[in-house]
Amino acid sequence: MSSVVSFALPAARNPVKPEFTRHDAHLNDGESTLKPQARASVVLPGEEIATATSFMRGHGTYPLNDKLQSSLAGVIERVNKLISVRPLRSRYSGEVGDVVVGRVTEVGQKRWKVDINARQDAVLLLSSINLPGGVQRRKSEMDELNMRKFFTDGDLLSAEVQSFFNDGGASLQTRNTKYGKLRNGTLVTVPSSLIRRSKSHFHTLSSGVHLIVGLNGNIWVSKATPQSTEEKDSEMIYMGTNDDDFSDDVRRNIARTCNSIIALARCQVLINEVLIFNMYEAALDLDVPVKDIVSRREEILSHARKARDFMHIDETQ
Amino acid sequence: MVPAANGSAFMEAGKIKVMAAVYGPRQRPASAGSTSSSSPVLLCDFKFAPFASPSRRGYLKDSSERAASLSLLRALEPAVRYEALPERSAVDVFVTVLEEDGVQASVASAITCASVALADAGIELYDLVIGCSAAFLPSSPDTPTNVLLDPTVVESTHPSCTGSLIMAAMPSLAEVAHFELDGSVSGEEVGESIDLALDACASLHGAVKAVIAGSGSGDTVS
Amino acid sequence: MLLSPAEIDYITKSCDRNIRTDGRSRLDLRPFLIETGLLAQANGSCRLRVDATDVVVGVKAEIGSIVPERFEEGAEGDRDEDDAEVVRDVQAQTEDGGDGATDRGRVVCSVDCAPSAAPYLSPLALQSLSAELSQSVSRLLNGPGGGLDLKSLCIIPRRTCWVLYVDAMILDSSGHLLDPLHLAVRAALLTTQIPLVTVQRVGTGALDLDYDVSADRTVPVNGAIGVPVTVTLHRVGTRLIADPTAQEERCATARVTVHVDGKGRVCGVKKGGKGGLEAGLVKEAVREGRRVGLDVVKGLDKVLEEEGKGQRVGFFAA
Repeated sequence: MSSVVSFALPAARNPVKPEFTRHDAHLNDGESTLKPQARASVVLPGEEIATATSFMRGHGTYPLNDKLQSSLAGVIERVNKLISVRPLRSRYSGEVGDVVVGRVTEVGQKRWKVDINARQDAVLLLSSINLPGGVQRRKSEMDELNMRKFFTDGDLLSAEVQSFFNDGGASLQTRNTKYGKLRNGTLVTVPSSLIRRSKSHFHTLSSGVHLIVGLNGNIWVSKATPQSTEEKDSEMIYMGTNDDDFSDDVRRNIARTCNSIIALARCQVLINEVLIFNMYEAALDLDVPVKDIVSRREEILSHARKARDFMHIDETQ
Repeated sequence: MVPAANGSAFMEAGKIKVMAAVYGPRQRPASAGSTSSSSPVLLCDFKFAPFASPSRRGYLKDSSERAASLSLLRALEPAVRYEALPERSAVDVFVTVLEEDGVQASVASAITCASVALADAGIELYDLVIGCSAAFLPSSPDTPTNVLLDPTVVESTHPSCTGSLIMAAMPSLAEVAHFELDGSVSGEEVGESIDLALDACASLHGAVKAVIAGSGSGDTVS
Repeated sequence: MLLSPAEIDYITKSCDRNIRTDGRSRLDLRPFLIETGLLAQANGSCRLRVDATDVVVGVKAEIGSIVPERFEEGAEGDRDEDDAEVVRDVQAQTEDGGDGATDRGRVVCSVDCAPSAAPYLSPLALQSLSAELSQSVSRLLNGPGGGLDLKSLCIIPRRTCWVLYVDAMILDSSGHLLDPLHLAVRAALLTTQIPLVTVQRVGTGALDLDYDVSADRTVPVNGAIGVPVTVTLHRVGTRLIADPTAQEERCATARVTVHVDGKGRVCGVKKGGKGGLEAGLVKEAVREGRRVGLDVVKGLDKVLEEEGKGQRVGFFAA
């Protein structure tokens, strides 16, 4: 059996030479205005972003005399009179209604702790999950052993953010049967900033692959089954084992999909199911072996961009 | 650069190569019968890699590394917005010099690199902290002393060198975050060196901004 | 690291079907990105990246005494212990017991794993991993299978020798670290240049010798071409895979590390991991490991030759 071994040398990078720059002059027309940098992309901590006090200051800003300064390296966001700075790189901090994919890290008294790549673990309360019919509804009798029949340490699950605790941690719910334990596939993690909210985060691609795009950057790529799309049988929700019949083609398509997602992320492109599919198709079109998709991502992305139905996601959405 | 860290940066200035990694904010365990306050803390660790200097350094920290860790902390503290950090949290800053060219210049680069890593980690800062170093070197006993910015190891360890300094500035706020000078120099020389160092920090600041804006993450500044 | 039972099963069956989660076949390695000569203060250096795994190796040659004294000048506590341990190891490995170590130089290795290299490990476990990796490199290079001509590092028998300090920093990891580490060490040693030393007689006695270190002429390290690489095959399910990702490594039950040199000779075989292995699989591991190892050595030598001809780029380019 052959094996593939390849070595490469790094490409050169151009150094940045420091040049003396003078601080931009203030706009002194007396009105509340945004500084020129506010229209450009990135600001640094310490940079002045507004000269008037009639703006409300949001996250990532601090007041200095009568000016607003940025306290983060990021992009200025302005909603009416509220100015904030969105950090270039940040952990996921969600909103109510977000679909997330998380991993159980702890089984406790009537609740599970779930890692969702946020500043703190989220909580899934026993009262927030779907209890199949016939199960003892006397929750007071639910001890840890029984808890593990539903979710145990290491399990991956899809859920929805239902609320937040005072300390900022999310509270999740899996009452809808489309949520629950994940199986028949593998996990891909990308920066959460590349995922945009959209109408649905559950997609079945024509290649027989099912996607759950978590807003927290975790994407579950699995074999599409009838249960992926329909209401799940109550028995199925907590099944932790994979199907027996797994064709090589589907396995290969799952790998191809995962690599397409990673390739998009490495190119720092915003991700949704259409783009994933475009990348996937472009890789097939160019006959790129599955394992080379990530290393040939620039080539594949520019090919994908030429496709008629390539979708650009508007940055400002 | 160091994907598992919450923030990271790498910097190359001439021969000096520094990398910084930031973890946090994360929960500090409350010590039993805790007398320590619950306010957030910044912890800094500076070290030279074994192969960073002409003669090999062992793994145990020597006094210059311990002193540099303290300089790093003093330089970064004024910039950190502690009120934005959670109670009882800690932010860890690890800086490793992979190749040095003069201790002061290396520490100055470490300061800059660490503040970029802090920004990369999303830690709220009043400003970036830019470090620079200088050496006082008279060209001959009778002529005025030259202040050499960003001295190499040859310059800073020269036998006629009368002093050296490390400055950390917050350029947007026009404030000095940290300043340490050792040696025997005149008052005017100190004043001149402060002005020169501030200018150097300002121009370096521009370069750092260009890199951060261009790449969206901790990146190389040469 | 945590994985769900479903994920472990999927990864395991993927390896069985020879379609790994990233599309590779069982014995495919991920591409290496390599660079040597990037540390000006080191006599030799290499940076090697495989996916997220990032290893930097620096080699520094220093003149030392053949038997390290407790009061070695400028030495720190830890260096003494490293040195002394190496001497004990070498003495144990040479046939003539005590005297064997007095006509050769030695290699002192240490590996430092940054916290980011394995964020799910406790500081103690990290230290233990660093020690284990250091041991592996040290034993190999100082032992009979290491390839290096340690005798050529001797300057004055019983007195003075070159000590090669091989220091590795693991900046990040995505999978088993041993193979990239040994590969980077080989590349660093292959490109190491140490100052030329000439020895002269200064008297009539047998030991009246003195040495002179050249300020500008250097020589390579004898025998670096013979330094082996390692190929560690992990057993996942019923089959063996090479270069596992961190998730695949988590699913492995046992592993076999094969040391292979440029001539295809097997210089070491070590089994690791908590599970057992059928004898047939061990033989297969040695067979496959040897084949992959030869490809790796060939690939490395070729890319180093290409690098030697081209232009140097800055550290951390790309």
